Amino acid sequence: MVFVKLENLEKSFGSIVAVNNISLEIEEGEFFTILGPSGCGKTTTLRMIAGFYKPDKGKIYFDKKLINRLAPEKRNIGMVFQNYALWPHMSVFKNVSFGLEMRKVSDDETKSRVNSTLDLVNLGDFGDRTPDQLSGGQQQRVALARALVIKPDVLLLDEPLSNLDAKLRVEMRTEIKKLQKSLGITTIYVTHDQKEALAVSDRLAVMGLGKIVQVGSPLEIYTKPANKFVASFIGLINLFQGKILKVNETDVWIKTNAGLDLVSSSIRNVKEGMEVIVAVRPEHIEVHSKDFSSEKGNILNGKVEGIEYLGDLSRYNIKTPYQIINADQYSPSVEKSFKLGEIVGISFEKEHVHLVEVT
Amino acid sequence: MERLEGLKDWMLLRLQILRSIDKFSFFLILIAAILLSVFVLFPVFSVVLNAFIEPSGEIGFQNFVNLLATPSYRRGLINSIITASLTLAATTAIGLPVAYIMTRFVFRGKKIFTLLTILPLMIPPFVGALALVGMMGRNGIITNFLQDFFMWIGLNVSLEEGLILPNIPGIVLIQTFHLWPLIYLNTSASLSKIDPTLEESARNLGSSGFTLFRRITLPLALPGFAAGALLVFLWSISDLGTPIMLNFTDYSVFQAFSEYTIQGGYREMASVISIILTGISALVLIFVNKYVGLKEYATVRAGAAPKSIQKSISRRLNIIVVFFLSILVLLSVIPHLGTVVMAFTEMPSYGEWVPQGVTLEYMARALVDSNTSLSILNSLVYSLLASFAGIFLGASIAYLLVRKRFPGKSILDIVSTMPFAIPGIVIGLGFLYMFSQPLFGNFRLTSFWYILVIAYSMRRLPYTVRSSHAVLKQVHVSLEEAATNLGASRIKTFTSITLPLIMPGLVAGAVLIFITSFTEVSTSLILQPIIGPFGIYARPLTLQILLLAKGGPTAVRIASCLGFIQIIVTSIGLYITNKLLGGKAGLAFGG
Repeated sequence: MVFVKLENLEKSFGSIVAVNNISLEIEEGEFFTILGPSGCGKTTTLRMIAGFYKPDKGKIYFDKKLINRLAPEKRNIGMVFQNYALWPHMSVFKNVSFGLEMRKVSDDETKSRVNSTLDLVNLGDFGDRTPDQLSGGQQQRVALARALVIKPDVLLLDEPLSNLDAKLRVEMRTEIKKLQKSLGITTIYVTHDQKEALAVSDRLAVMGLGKIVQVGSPLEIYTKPANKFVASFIGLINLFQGKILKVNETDVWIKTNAGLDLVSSSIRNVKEGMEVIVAVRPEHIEVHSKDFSSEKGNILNGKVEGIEYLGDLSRYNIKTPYQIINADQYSPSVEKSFKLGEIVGISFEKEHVHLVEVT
Repeated sequence: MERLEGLKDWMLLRLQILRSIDKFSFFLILIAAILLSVFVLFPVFSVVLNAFIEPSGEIGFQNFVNLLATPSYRRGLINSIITASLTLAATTAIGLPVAYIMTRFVFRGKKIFTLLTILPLMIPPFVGALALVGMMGRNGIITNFLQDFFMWIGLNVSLEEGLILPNIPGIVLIQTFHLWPLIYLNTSASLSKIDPTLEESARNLGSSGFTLFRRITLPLALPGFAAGALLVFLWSISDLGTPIMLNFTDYSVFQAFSEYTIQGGYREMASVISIILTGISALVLIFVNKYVGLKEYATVRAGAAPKSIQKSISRRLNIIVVFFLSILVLLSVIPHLGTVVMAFTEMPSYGEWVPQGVTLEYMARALVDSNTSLSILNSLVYSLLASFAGIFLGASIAYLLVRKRFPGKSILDIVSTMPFAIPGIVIGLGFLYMFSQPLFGNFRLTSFWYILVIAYSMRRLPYTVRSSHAVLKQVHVSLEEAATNLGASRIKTFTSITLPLIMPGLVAGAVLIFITSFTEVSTSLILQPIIGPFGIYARPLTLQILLLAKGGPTAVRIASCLGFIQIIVTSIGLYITNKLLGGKAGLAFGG
């Protein structure tokens, strides 16, 4: 198990800067995710760690050891490729035993290690099959077994679930997470799926345009997005652009550019007159019938323009005089639901209004 | 100053790319560059040069002027173009309907016809021509049969001269016999790849019948048809075997051939004709590439699509389809039957058409006679070596093209596909011009049999590059990376991952070179080395067949026996490639 450190990594392809001066520290045994939209440089970063790309600048350390110049075959990294890269001309057993063969492990040990790893991924009886006889999920498990059997120092996963259907994706990510925790391997996981990233990671880094935008625990990233990009990339969010009107010890008053007055109790270190972007998550916005009243927090009226019923919640698209606001209603029922075109009241408490960015 | 800076940047960039190439690839590039220069570029260039060297020794267009001023050459050129166009029209008229029927209809007997329709590919065109002339020429069995038939029904037609005459229709007929499957196979490859939902969505939007065919189906199938049509046209215009067999002298390739080899080494006219033919081929190739496009349309597909668009047809239509295909297959096997009849039966006397019993005498003579048996052995050796050399070079070039970035890559791509559009006669003449000078003492490269091995492998280089290219593309880089990642060295990755995956494609490519070399006509006839691998008899099989075919009746029968051997070898080779490539061998096959 090792500690991975990236220092000022840079990589360009022609005139395109894929990775722009990034630094990261990944703890021993940590499940670390690099999250970002396609083309943000996350896969490039992963491939530099694997050794398939040479960084233009910067350093990669495993523990204290600089590995920039180490050939990919010497790094003892387990990698799961997006397309699994199973060799079609070899059986499942041969695919998994290949890495051990390269390490000149004895036949007996190879056999027992391959079998126990296949058991670990619930494919104990599949050794004799060829990859084309397996389902997508099974292929994925073989790829995982092939990477794990060599007892790698680091496990790299490049969008491993993107080729699976939605239900299997959820199952597999739970399984991967469980395996990783029981084996304690330092793991770097690359994905563009924010739900996946939040679900599996100990910590994650959000990347955009070749740069790291924010690093933190899933909870930190979700509740305290560092800027507009992170806020809108992770989950759904209502953004308000405006100016600070007044500041006291506990509260901050903001007037949005559209004229809406907001009050927040979670914003610190701002001054009157600052241009800011603040945000409220839809799950923190309550929807009421139009004649409700309340004394605290933020209240306004609007018209229901769209409804998405998602089972555990209903998401309302509400048009207010200022802007469209998304609000979630949990455990919706026939009696409690609102109708399309209905005028409703919405409210959110001042502690849920967060500062995203000072512009 | 600014320009200098720009130049410096450019050179730095080039240097950077050059540095990024590993030593092994650099070595491959070097070898490919040398071989392609010496054996493709220089010979072609020497033919071009000779076309512009006037009799007086100066450089100019005089040879072209002389050519156009000579009626027989002018006629030859026009005849060549007309022939190629007519052959294309005839093969299209047969190949297109067959492609549509075979890909779109479900009918009784379809499986058998799928097999039977590739029969023409099994017969080397040269042998086919020999058999057709023998069967349908003057006093041929079919000619005599029809003559009797016409007499019987009271039709007063004289078939004294035969059904196939040394004229344009004769050439077109023989070429069509051999070439129509190229249109059929290429078009049906395109047709069967069309995603059924594309047509379904057009129907859904209200289009049907001929409109649907014209607006959706045809444009989607066009690239396949264009590829087939291109093969047919290029094949026809550079065909040397058929006019020689028919003795049709008003034909450009034949004229170029006899100018140099028979008339005693006049380079000017042979070169000028060859260059004009190459120019026509190149123009057609460029035209097709630009206006039709040879690449398949990539179909974006999300989710599963219904597998087949094939529909059942009515019983009446079934009968018509089977009747049409049966006639076609019956006609298509005339060359095969003809070869067997001429090789293994006692021929009827003049004017008769019933063979007089079976004989193995001629086959025995073909196998015992030292010259004919040596020619068989020679061709086996030449083709085997050519396929090894060809696949090695072809696979190396394909590897560089698929996996590496380096300066001059596009040049390598172009030069290695050049022989595709260059008539065999140009390669043949170029080799003669380049390598018939004594090198040291009295040593001439063209005196030795190796020259044929080199010529064969260079002629077929585009096929091997293409077949290797295709298999290499299928091996995703991540398959290799996964091995490297697990600790395999470069060499180990290559031997345990890449090689086993591309092997079927490589072997299929090698077999394809083998059979095309075994039956190769133009370079076999032009280059006539003296010293062979088994002593002073270097003639390849095809040349032996030609010489015998021009001899007396017995010699023609022995020629047919040799032709029969070529059919057997070709069939076995096609069977192997079909197994390896999954039924697509005919696509790469151009004679």
